[in-house]
Amino acid sequence: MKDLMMQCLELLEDETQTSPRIQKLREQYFAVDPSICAERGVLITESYKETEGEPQVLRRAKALDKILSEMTIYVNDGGLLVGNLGSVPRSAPVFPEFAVDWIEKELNGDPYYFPDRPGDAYQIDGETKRVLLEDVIPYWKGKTHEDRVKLLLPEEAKIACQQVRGSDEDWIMTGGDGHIIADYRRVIREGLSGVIRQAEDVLASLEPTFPEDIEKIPFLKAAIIADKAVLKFAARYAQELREQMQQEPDGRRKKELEEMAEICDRVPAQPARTFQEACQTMLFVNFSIQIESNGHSISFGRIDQYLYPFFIRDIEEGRLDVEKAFDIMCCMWLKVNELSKLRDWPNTVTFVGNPLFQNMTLGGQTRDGRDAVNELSYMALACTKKLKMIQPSMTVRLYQGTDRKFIKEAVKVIRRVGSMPAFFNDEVIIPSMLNIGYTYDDAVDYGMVGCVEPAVQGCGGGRYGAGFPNFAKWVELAVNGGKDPRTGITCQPQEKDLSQCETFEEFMECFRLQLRYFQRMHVICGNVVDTSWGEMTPNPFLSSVVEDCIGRGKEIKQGGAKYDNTGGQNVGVISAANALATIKKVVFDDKAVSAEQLMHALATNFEDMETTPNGEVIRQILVNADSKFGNDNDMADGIAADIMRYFAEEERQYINTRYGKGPVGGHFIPSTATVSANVGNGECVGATADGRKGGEPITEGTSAFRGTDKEGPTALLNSYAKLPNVLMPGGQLFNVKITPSSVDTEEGLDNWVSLITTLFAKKGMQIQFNIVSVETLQEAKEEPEKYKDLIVRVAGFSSYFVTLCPQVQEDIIARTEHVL
Amino acid sequence: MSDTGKIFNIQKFSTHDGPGIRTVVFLTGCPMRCIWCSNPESQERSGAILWDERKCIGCGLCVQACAHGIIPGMQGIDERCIRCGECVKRCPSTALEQMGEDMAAEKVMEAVRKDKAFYQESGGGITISGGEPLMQPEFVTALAQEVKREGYHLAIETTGYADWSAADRVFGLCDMILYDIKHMDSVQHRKYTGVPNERILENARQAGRKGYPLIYRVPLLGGVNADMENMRALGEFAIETGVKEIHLLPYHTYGENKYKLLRTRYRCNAYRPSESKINDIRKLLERKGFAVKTGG
Repeated sequence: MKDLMMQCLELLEDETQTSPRIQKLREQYFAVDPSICAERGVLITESYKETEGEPQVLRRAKALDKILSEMTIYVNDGGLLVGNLGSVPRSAPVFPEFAVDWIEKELNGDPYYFPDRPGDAYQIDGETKRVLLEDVIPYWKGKTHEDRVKLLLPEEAKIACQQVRGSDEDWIMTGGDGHIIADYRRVIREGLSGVIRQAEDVLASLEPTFPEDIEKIPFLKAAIIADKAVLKFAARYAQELREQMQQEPDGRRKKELEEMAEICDRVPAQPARTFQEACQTMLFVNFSIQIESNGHSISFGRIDQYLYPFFIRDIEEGRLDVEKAFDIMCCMWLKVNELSKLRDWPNTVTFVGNPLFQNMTLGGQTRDGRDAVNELSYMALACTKKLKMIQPSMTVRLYQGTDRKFIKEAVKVIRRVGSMPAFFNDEVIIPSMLNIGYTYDDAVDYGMVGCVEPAVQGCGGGRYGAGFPNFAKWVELAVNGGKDPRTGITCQPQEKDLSQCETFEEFMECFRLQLRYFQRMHVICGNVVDTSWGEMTPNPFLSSVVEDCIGRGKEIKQGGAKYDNTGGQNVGVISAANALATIKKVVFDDKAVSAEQLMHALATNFEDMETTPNGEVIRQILVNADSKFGNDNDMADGIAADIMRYFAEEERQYINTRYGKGPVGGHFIPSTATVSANVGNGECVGATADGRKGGEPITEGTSAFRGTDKEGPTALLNSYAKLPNVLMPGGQLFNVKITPSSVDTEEGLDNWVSLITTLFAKKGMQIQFNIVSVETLQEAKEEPEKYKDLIVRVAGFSSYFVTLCPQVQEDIIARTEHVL
Repeated sequence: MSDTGKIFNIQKFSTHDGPGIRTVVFLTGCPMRCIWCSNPESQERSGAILWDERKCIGCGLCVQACAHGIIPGMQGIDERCIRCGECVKRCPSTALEQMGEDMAAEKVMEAVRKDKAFYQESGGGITISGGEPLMQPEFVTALAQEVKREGYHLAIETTGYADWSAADRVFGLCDMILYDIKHMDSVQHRKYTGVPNERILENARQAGRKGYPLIYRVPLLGGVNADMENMRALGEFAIETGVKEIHLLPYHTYGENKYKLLRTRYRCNAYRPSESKINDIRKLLERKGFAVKTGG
């Protein structure tokens, strides 16, 4: 037998193709369009009508039971794994308990009918529409999470966030949370029956004279109901598979179906024994969380670590060969791609391309400091390379001992796929986690959730996606003495506007004042939303598979998890830094433009041609001033680092709703996981002092503003490495676009690897790439039909380019392209 | 003077001018006038002023800044222009760009050091290029000494058209010498580059005798030098001078736009040889035992 590692490496070779089975399944995927499925909406409505008056957490568990017992299930023709959310592939379920007003509006064409959206369109049939409008939405009016948030949210925060838009908190008001890695390892090892047993034990051990213990009863009962509901779900698949088996004429497939049925008999109730059982367990757990919680970024963690013992044992004992293992893994990738999440239109712009961010993490180091890369790490890379699909999001962890060969194979995947995997630096992330109280063993075992957010596996209840604090907006407000030019509202008054500041430092103080104000508003929104989620939409199943909810008898939002922090996703940080640095250079240092001239030019969007110098001349001076992050310019980079550090240090003082209730942490932690919020949030920021015109996108993550990083990739990386990355335990996002022609040689690949390793030696936290030429993108925009599978990196995630809305497409085209 | 050079560009992350990730320092001034030159702004020792019509917003600030009131598009061409650069400083849109800045070796080193970590990780370093860097022999020597003193890998790109004594001094400091051979026939050489090739070949022989790390670089231009006869002569010359590696650079027209910015005419009518022709040349040289690289 050939060496196992050799066989896995062969999967990555250009000549290797996926099996006909996988090719057929992939074709099936691209042949259908996303659609809306009303089933979940109908079932939860019926269930809620039956359980009125009961504790919320029990109602949720009973609703989950009803959904999993009655929703349509299907088996893909030729697939080796099962599980689904909607009644047909790529259909999105409806979650009316979170919000219904927007669904009603969009069903009526405001701002678009679902099938007519300019990006992420959804097909919907007449009956689905009728059911939603008549049977579902009316029941939920006034009873949703969104309604509760509106009730709890102070007026001031509403104005600050929804009108002035100094921090965009919309998506968390209409959706669920997610952003978690469940304890897949435990379920694989013990089965849900182990979890249920523990819940029963805890329940039996309660002392009902303690008021605290009485509170635990509904949660523990709910967890048992929810876990049993998942077991019923699996049993339904077993039955369905056996029925299909009866009909199946092909003997080989018949046998496969029988094996799959037996797997569903066993897992997730019992411990998994084989690789395929372990994979199926993961999908049952993951999909059940999705159906329960309406979140995204429900991630898988370090699959190459916890699946490895099953893989290697099956291989050694002759039950499995590399070919079959590769098929199973590809089936998992395809299954994960089949999921779809319906978001309201404004949040579709923020999360464009229908990403679910089901991140999988590869590589890094083991707890005892060895290189964690193994045969499965290469096989997982091969799945992504050969399938060329947007899910799962793929993380490659690097540490100083990572084999260069693995990095090279990973960049070759990017060259092929265009955008995945992304690279993360253990040497920064682990210390950043230790700083906020994670134990070494848990920190070193981190996995990624969503885009770029480091998380502990199976024991963290943290919420990362808490709104988008908009740094660029705060500069605009600081320039204008606190008054928002767009709405005329002053949230946080200043004593002086820019023209009255005598020094740049004085102006920076104005900016910091705005920062503190909106940071506070952001925290208020975050905690209000968490409070509502805790009361309105508790997740008993999810909680049952996160340590130590069962042991404590507490749902996650009540403080059940071992660790728990909340983080916002800063947007426009670099836009703000560029604007501030340009004001310093042009107005205060060079005095090339006066503050009054600048303010007038900004107020008129550089369009007043009657002034001297005129608006466009001023804009050119601003654009071309040597004051932009991304050019290894110490002044500009220093300001970026300074505002990031300031925000991070201020953030620590705020606590979330689980503080003091058990988990380690309980604080707010910052990240720059912007997704595509830089586009929507740019629309409400007027002209800025870096020469950006009003309404244009601001920056995402810590990436340079489009077209301003002119000194090449080494200078860009040097700038990024100067940021205080270790203060960003919520994750940094750093996007670099390079041309395909520059990496088509061995030398090009070697230099590419060196760029990454040098950046990480200099304490960069993260880097990801877009490797598609401007010409290709333009062609794809004009002829979308020909480019259905063209993948681009939007922010911390990848999407099919043709599904993006036009503004986002333009933004991606405009970002600087580097020649290696 | 020796410590100050005229630099027209410091290009970071260069990957085609020697091994690994490199910074290329481009010096102004060239004794040759190759018709295909892709850096025409480097030819004059005193530098050049580029004007990009597409970036010009017609604000007129350059006219105000100029003692002679020279209008946009005429800077560097109008005979009253002394290339003082006042217009460039005032231009808000970077439509005007001055090529050729006086820089001390230490200032160049400051820029070069910024990417130190990248050189170390990738096996890269510094490449001195031009123009013809040996046109500024004292400065190049000073810079090369500084680069070596700090321990970086050093390459030079040269036409070889220089005094041997200057070349000898600089080559002795280099880890790699990328030496252009444009044509083996002196008459043809003169026709396309403006100078005969005897001195270039003689310097190469000298360098070969001293065992300097030479690599020959040959632009491949259809209709000019990409014929088998010339390539055979090159191969023989390389054997004579002890050179083991040859880089072929098929002709491209990336430099053409710069002629527009300089507001002069691009006169080159050479063409890129076909892929099969390039392959034939490659095989010919490989059969003679050379390591051959194409492109760059």
